[in-house]
Amino acid sequence: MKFLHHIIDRIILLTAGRFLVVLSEKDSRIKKELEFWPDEFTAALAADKHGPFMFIKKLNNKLHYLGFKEDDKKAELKIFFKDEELAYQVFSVKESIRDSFSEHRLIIDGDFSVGVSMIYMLEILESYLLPSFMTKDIMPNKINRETGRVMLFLHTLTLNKDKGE
Amino acid sequence: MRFPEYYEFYNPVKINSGKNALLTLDYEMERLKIKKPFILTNEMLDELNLLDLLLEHLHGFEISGKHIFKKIPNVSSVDIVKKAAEVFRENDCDSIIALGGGSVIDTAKGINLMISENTDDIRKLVGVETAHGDMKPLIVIPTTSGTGSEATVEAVITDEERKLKLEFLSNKLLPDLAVLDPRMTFPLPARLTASLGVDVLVHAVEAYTGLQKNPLSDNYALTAVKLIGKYLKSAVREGDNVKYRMAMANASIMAGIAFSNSMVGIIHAIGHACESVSEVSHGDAISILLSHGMEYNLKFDYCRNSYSDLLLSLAGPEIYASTPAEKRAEAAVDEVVKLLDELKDLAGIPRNLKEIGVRKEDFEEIVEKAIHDAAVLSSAGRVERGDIRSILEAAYE
Repeated sequence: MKFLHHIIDRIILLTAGRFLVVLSEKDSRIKKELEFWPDEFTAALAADKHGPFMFIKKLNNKLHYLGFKEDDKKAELKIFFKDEELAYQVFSVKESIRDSFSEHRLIIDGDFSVGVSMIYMLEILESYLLPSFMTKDIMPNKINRETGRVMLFLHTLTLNKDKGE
Repeated sequence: MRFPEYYEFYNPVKINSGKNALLTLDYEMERLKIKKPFILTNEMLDELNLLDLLLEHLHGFEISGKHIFKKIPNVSSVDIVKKAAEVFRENDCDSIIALGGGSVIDTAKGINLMISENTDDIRKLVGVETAHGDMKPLIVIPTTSGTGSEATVEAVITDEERKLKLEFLSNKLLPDLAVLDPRMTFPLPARLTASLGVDVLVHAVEAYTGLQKNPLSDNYALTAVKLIGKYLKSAVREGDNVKYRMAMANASIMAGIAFSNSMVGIIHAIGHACESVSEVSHGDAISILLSHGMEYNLKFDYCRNSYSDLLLSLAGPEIYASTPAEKRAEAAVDEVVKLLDELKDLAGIPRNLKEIGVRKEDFEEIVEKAIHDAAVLSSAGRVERGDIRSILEAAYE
């Protein structure tokens, strides 16, 4: 079972960065959050301290997905869970990411304010990926979608690879 | 009682509290194998002879003028932490004694972090659990009763260059020992006693209503509220009363332990933003925001239930019993408003944001800062920018 959870964590992290890149051009709230990030800022989300990862970077006011391998990437912000299974709880919508943070199961290593911003972006992404009946228990307020899911998936599938991916 | 599915609680700080608590210092320092302490304080506490009082209680340790750093400003900064860490290293000290309020204690935590991680730039260590090395023994002797920093895992240090408040959170930042001696808070003026007392109340209220409230932090928070309800006004009136000062020192450390484990919420998030954008004092900002933040939280059932419990602690059993169950939450907010009004009459604490110099044209910047404060994530509901704006409007005048 744990292996299956590991695979699910990996799939989520492999795709989440690409979805965020597309949404950063289509969703006004994610655009606004991105404005808050310093330019050339690199952030990573990881299932646990040692990965698997998702690296994203703000460059020239645009979000770029840098892949999942740590290599020599230097992230100014790392958000990771204390255990991969705890990441699975969030990725499988059993727990909200903000509950995970307030329960100290998720660590923000770096600038807190950008970490909070990234958590907002991930919550918005969650509202696109999952039907609202699945997220209603973990999200007190409904987050409306500003673009269609089909378009989002199509754009994500056809997204050009960035250097380093 | 709301019982969380999961929680973490940590507080290894030894607390020596009471009359002449400083007399235990020699023993405790020997226990911690301290030989050459580095003492941090500020000029004002030296003028008030509190530094002399501390030194009178230290015997057999290697302490000279170069082991005492008195240049800590009212707000802890990256530069001061760096300078103080350099002095610590130059003199090969083996421990830190922080004599002062929140800024002195946070500076001490910052130095300890820099020394343990062997770095010259504390900004590299911002965030959660960035301390990995062995920390030096840290003893804190609070001279105020407000921030609770003597028992929190947090240090807030200002990056003046980038106008940012950097937050450092690590269990390793917790002091080894907190000495609460009433003589250390006697000189605190009535206005500050009141303002810091409300700071303690906000810590306790937010700890008791935060998403990570738990049975252990709840007890600390409720006891702190009880002590404030019973003794804060008396401490403001009679600053040299041992019992009142001890009650407030204990309320402060208990609220600190509570919020260090269950975190704070929307009131602190907006307060931090007001501090950073409008450069107002932490205590003033959050004491003004307290009742408005509580009003906002009344729409959440679990906050209402928590406020009902707070009514019992703050106002006592008679008022609690005579208030219908469905009205207890509102009654708790009314009690807080009553206390704040009384403290305004007694000590002149401010009651609106305009009074302390927050400008309406800064609201948007305050909203942006507040919505990105980690405290918002532990607040009830999913706080939106509009919620923050409405609290600011309500607290403005």
